Amino acid sequence: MINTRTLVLFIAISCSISASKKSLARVYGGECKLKLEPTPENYTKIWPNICIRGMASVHHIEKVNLDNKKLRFVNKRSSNLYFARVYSSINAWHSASYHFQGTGFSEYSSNKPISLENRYTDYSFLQIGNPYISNNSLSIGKIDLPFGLNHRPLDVPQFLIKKNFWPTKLWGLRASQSNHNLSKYEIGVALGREEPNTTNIQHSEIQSTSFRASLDIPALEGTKLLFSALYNQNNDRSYGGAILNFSQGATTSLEWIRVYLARDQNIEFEQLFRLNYISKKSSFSQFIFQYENSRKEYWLMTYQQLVYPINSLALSISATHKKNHIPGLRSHWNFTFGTMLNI
Amino acid sequence: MNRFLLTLLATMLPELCLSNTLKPISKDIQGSDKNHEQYESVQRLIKNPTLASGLTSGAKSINRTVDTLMETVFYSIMDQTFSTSFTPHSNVDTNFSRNVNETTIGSYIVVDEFRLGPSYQKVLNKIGNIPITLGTDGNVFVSNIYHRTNAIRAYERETLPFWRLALNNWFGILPILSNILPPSFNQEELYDPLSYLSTPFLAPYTVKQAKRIPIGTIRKYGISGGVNLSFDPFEKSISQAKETLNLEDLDLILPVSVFKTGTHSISTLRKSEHIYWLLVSETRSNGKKVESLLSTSLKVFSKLIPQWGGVKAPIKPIDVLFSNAKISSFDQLYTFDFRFASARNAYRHAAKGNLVPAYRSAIKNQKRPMGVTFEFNKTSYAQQNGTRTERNFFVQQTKHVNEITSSEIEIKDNKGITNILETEQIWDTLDWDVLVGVETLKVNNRIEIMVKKNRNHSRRNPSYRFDQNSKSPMNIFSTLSIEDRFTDAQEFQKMLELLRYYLALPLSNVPNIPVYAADNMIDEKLRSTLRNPMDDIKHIRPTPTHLGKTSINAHISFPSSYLKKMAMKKSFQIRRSMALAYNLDASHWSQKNLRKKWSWLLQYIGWATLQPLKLINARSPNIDFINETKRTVDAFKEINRATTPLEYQESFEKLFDSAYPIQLIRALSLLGSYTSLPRYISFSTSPKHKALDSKDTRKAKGIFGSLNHKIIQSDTRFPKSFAFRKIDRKLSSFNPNNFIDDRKKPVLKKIKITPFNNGKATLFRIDLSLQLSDPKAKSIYLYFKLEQSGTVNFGRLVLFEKTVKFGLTKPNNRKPDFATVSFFTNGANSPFATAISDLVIGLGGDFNLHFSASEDSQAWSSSRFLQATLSDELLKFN
Repeated sequence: MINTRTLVLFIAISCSISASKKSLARVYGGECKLKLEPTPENYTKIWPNICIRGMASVHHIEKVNLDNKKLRFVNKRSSNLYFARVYSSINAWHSASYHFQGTGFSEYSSNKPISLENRYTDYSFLQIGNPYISNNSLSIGKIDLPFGLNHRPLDVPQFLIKKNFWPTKLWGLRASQSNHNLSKYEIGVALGREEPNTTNIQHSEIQSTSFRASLDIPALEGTKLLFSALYNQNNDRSYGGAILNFSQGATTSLEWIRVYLARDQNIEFEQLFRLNYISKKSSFSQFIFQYENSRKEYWLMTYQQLVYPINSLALSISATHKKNHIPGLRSHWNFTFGTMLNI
Repeated sequence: MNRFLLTLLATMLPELCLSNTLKPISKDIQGSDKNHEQYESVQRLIKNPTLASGLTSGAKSINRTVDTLMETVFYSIMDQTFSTSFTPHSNVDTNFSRNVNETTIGSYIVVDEFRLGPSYQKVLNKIGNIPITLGTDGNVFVSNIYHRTNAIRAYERETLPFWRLALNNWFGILPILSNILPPSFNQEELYDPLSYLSTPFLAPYTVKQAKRIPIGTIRKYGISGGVNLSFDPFEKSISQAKETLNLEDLDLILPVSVFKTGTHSISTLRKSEHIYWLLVSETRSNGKKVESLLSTSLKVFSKLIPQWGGVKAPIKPIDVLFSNAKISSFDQLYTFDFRFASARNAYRHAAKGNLVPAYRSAIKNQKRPMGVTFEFNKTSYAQQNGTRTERNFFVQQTKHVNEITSSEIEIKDNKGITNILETEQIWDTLDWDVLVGVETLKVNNRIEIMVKKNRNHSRRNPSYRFDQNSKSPMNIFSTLSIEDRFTDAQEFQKMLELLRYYLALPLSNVPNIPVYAADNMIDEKLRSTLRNPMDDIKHIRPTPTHLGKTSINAHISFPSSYLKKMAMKKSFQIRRSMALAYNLDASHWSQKNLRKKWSWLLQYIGWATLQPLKLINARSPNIDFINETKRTVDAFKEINRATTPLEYQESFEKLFDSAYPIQLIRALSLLGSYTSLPRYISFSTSPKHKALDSKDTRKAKGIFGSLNHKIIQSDTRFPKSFAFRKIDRKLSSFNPNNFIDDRKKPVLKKIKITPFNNGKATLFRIDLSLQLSDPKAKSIYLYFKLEQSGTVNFGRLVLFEKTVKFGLTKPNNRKPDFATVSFFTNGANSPFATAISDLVIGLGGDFNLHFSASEDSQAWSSSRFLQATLSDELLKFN
């Protein structure tokens, strides 16, 4: 039960850091919001500092198929999912910092003893320049390549059942240049790739390169447009476009990705279309809706209702329907009940 | 009676119940103008109808109700064409359409139109390989132009029979759409389909039918048609090229056509209970045009979702039209007072197109009252040259129009005959994209020459002399109009820079609006500085503050005295002014023998080489400068040589034939002492407030909103336009864009909200002060809509929307036209509240309050909109 122990340890560390926050003025927790405006005269009062935040959650998942004739759920498969994620940054100066994010999860099924257990590093990189203070910045280490939006508000209940179209957890570098809060241009180069859910790292000279441009539209206050392209060593080409809108506390995102696979001439291209709507967080509740369509593979629709008894704790209930288009794979429903603790 | 008692009871509630923690709040809601409604205030402030017309039409056009593509989809339900084919070449088309313009006073102008008529198109013959095509169409039309308000709709909900109410609201679909679509969705676009479908039967041919027209409504009917003959000399070679290049999906046509069109219409406007205006108009045009169109059509999103066929996306990189036409128009206006039998009889004939009885009655009317008045007769002969360039990439479109019209206008009225020679340039640039809609920039350069017709003139070739009675017989009027439906603070600063350039006015009394809201910027820095850089893309930083809708009209006029001095300038002086206007090196371009130098020739070759780019609407002022300067210098030479009014008109036509009219006006200003020129600017602004706006954002929008109706002018008084002074004011009443509701209405002046605690909940009493149009009125209809704002973010939650008849309390007997209405928003004593509204108000929060009042349930006051926080702990206006 190493994962449970890790989880308990993580919660204990986070709680003690959070509790001693007053004495550790340079340690920020949770949202890591500054108290002073980061102007040059305040730099010495703000930096160096540490930012820590964590999230731990427990979910019960019921995966069922719907018998259309009897209108009844059949073939029930229950499992419990333990999920934890920790993010930490050591900020030596406003323009030099180190960032780490790790994720661990275990899934226990009632039918099968242990189906999956894993831990991996999402990010581990050095950051030169601060994208929020300076116009130019550079990240080196294990990063996400700048491609698409990859807005994933339903990460936890869905990460086992979705296909990943985004180049995440890659060793490489990315550089960005922004212009007065209106536009941002990023390029990224990946030198190694870690396959999702494994620890195998394939090294090569340049695995992938990507470009992303984002444009904030002042007239549509709270709206961002994104265009991106990605090329990898196999000559696969990916293109993406997205629109992100914040309005009256609610968030809507729409993303489209098309991937042309050079190695498989039978498949013209793969394509994903994703729509997210996150309602405004009221004093105690919030809902999330997501529609995702992976061309000729599946479409997925999820509704999640969140309730916040206290600020850092969320209770969630979500229903997902996944319609498979691949022969042999059945469509199914997932019902998830979860508890999430944000520290 | 019960409601009256309830109101009385509400006002009599003991003050002891007043909530201990909350204090009453009050606000002046009359708006910027103290005594008049918006349009009246515009007319009062701006004595010059030319300018008033520009401002009111600008104010209305920025409030057009179509905001987004989604709304356009819904609204298109009311724009339907049914086509029936009789032969392979002929159809009969039936068309119903509805356009709704929102005014800044909260009412809507609805234009319902019906058209019915045949069309015919056939290849007649081929000359060589060139097909000759004949096209003709004709239709009868009826339009119904009327005012609507939310209050009228709410009043109808309480008075109409159930079946009609269900029909008006599309059996309940319309209120649902209104609740789930964004607040900009306007129910008026779809409301009352029965009235819309009855448009063909609304033409007021008889007195009985005319009497059914509501006051302030226009009914227009008539006939229009046209014929054109076209041939495409390149059709065969283009077809062969398409086959060779395998470009079957691409359309390329270059048709040349000659055309003749005509419209004859009769419009009736009911001005008051007994007074009707009847306008007979006729317009004929004939000419030729050449069009060049390169287009194709794509299916987008067709592979996105397997079950969906996608959207047809027209792509037109090149769409250019050159036209030349002769236009003649005729307008005659009569006033009929239906209290006179002779007027009713004359109307009956006039409504069918026979104006002779009306004319006879009008002549007799000068001796004894007959109830018919001849207002004017306007005839105009014009020559129009135009270019239209469009580019359409489905999600982004641009349209550019440059038209020059030279007219000879004759106006006959009771005071005699007035002749005017007019040359007008209309230069419009329209940018549209799917995200922020339309942004337009319009320039109108016009010269009016006040003339007298020579006695020995021939009808076909009249000759004119200057009107010696006029102090300034020749005036240039230039207007720059900017409209932007999504203006941010950065764009607004750019607009002001353009206006300063165009008018040469410092505009120092226009308040500065910071580009960014300072509190948003600080908050973002505090939150984001320690954020994971990998998550940056999922956040949006503060952008330049989105302010709302803007319409600005700037005017400058050049009187005769200035034009005379200007015409005497030498070529090098004109080149110098042009260079200054284009921000180029003035000392270089003002050299006296510049045109003999190689640099001139090389620049000219450069300009000529880049001419094809104009087909795709691509142009650069620096490249076109040399040709613009040459043309301006040549036009000035002609102005210098001109002696007769017609010669002046022709030479000014050449001067106005510019692709850069803003720079031209700037150059004309720089040629003389521009400080003495009359200049004028008016703002129409409509800030878009959002419930979660930060303090600094609200402040910026407040400053922006305070510019509404702001007028800035130079020390020199702006001259009146001859044409408008005479008749165009009356003519413009028939144009939906200048539609003015003259009816008398009450004015909402002040609101006071008083909290009461009855032990269970906090009740809010509203006292509305108003000024009556009829001091004898004993009761009033009040429209009140309450919307929840802020915590609900998807669509909107209307808590109630009702009209209630109230008895009036008159606090001061010496001022019988001042009255007060009192009522509760919630609780058992409220005539508006429902169980749900009581529950939501009890939870507290931000609310939107809309009010309107009427003495007769037909003419409603301008709508007033307020945002307020109503809760147990806090009571304030936002």
